[in-house]
Amino acid sequence: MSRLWLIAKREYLSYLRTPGFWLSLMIGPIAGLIGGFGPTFLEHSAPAPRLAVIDLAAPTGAGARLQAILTARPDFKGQHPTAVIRPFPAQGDLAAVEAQLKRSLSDPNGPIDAAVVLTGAADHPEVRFWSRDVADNREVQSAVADAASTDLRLNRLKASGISPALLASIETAKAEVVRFSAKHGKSGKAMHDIAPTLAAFGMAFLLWMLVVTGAGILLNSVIEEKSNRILELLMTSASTVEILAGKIAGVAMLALTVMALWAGMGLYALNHYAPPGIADELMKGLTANHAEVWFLAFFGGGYLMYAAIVAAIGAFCETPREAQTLFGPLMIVLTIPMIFMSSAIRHPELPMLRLMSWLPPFTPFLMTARLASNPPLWELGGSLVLMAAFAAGVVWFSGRAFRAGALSTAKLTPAGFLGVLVRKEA
Amino acid sequence: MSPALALEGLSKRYGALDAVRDVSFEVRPGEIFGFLGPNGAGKTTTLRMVLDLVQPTSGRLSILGRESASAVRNRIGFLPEERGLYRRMTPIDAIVFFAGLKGVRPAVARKRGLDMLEAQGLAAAATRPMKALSKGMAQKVQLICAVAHAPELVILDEPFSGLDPVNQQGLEQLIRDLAARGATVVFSTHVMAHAERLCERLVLMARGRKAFEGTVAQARAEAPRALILDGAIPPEAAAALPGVTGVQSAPGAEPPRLILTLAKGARPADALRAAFAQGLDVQGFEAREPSLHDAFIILTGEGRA
Repeated sequence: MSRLWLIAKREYLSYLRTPGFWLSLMIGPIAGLIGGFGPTFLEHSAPAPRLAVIDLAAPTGAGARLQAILTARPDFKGQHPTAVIRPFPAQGDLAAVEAQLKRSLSDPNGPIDAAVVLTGAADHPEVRFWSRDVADNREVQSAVADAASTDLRLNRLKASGISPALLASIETAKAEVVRFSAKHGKSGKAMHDIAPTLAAFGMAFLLWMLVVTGAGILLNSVIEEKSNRILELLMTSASTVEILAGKIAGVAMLALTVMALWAGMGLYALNHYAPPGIADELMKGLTANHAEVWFLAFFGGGYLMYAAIVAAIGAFCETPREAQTLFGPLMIVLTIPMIFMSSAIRHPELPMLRLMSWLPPFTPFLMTARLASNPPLWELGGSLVLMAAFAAGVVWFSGRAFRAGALSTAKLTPAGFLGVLVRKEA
Repeated sequence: MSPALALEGLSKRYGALDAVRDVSFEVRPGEIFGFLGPNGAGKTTTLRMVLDLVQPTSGRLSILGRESASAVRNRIGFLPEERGLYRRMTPIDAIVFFAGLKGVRPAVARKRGLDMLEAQGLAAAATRPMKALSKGMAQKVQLICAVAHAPELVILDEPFSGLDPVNQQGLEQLIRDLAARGATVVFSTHVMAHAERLCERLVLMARGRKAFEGTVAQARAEAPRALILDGAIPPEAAAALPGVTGVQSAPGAEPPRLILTLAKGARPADALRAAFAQGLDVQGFEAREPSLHDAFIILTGEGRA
């Protein structure tokens, strides 16, 4: 049995047996669920805001019409309406009414959460929206503005002599948009078009998660060996290449285990809980234009690149605190593609993004995210070759740094770490 | 027979610091070899060069017939000065893992490891995590990890440090057992008593240089003998005796006691005969042979510091 395999196996099994591994395994899908459904759940968990319509305008029935338009809106119906209309017994002129509103809205247990006060003439209304805070009830405010504009528009059309029947038909007239795309050439099934995009984004995000998770595991593992003086002992039993490659391979096996389990959970959830056909479309998206092959290639290169750097950092550190000085900047580098990933999905052909996806540290994530737009083969191949060459250089340097760090008892400094590059012998 | 280990003019320089300077010696196959010296003498750096963990600045070495330890790593066992094992691993798993790295099949390593743990009184701890073991127990486990693959050359860096007297005795026996089955054992220490009991030959290091190489008896011969005289003897008269280079009074002794240091090669009998001839009040006497500790002080110049 080769030393590399023994080291990889120990690395794999030692982490697999910890409760932390199983916790982090569960946290991924839970975080996904929270991220996906959390905002909707939060919105639905709060009761619908109560809105009062107070008409102080000339007796034209503007308040009643506004109320009718609002209650006819689809988003004011159903189980989770944008708002519900409630009466507010206000009396007096505008100043008096608004003073009452101010008092009522200042009370968290008051009868309403927002109010719209209509003043002015029918053809020139002023719509005054009141809520507890400026930032409160933005959606309600937008619905009120919409409804008031509709009323104004209808009023003016009516004033110009258009019959009520024509008005009704104008109001209900709505063009139906049928989607087509150059890729599929057919209409109707929106999932056809968005499946590759969703799949590419999912793969890029998964890759990022695996690299970050793997890097964290590897860093802790090397720090443990360094602080417990095991690295020196290992180095008398195996070559630096065997140790470094064994550790990286062991953590890669862990990452692939996580990936397989998450994929299994995802497929199960899609098959059992998603609308029919979604799972098939997503699977097609995952395998469109050999996306899965490119993903594995970018995953291999990206993981190797970052894992080697992290292992080298860990070899210089005896505590996680020491590691932060070098791991921090690396995390910033890792955050950059995360920021641009969503743009790479929506606008994959932006010149800046195309350029960034050629930069080896970002290539694995941005190229994977761009897979949905079916980039030219020369771009995929070229960036992969460039990334592989860069990864080879990183592994070479990290190997030297790893050996120097493992045998060093000196305190870690960025200068000392980089000094390994120029030193003849560590 | 070619030496198990041979160093030829080995030096290591770190910037302006000469950690090891021009060290040469040979270790014969099957012997227990002591590598002695005070802290900071260059012992660990030399051993790290031997193990190919540090590149020498100059010089050559031969280890089990090869120029680099990396070429024969499966035939070498090493116990580092600063010890540690995976905290969550059990002793038997650690032994199987490290023996596996040296090419021993898991089943063989497991059987051998369990036998060795039992011999060291650690059978009950074989499946407990390392973090649950005492320091002495963990140290024994690490030693077993270093030798479970039956190496031809065993290098132990300060193996006795941190062990209580009972465990030190157990370790001495283990080293003798290794040598008895034909292994060459090189161990570094700054505690002379262990070397005195175990070593056939030794090297003494001081300030990065080799200060002595030879047998224990040869090392002791480098230190002066002492003659102890009890009685009311004037120190000046004692100092004038043949071969005496120094006189020290033992405070509070009754009858009064003088400790005479003799010159290298001087015989205690000559000084004693002269004392009787001069009619000095010799009520008791004792000729004391130098210990390795005395030789260590003389050879490393520690006494002059």
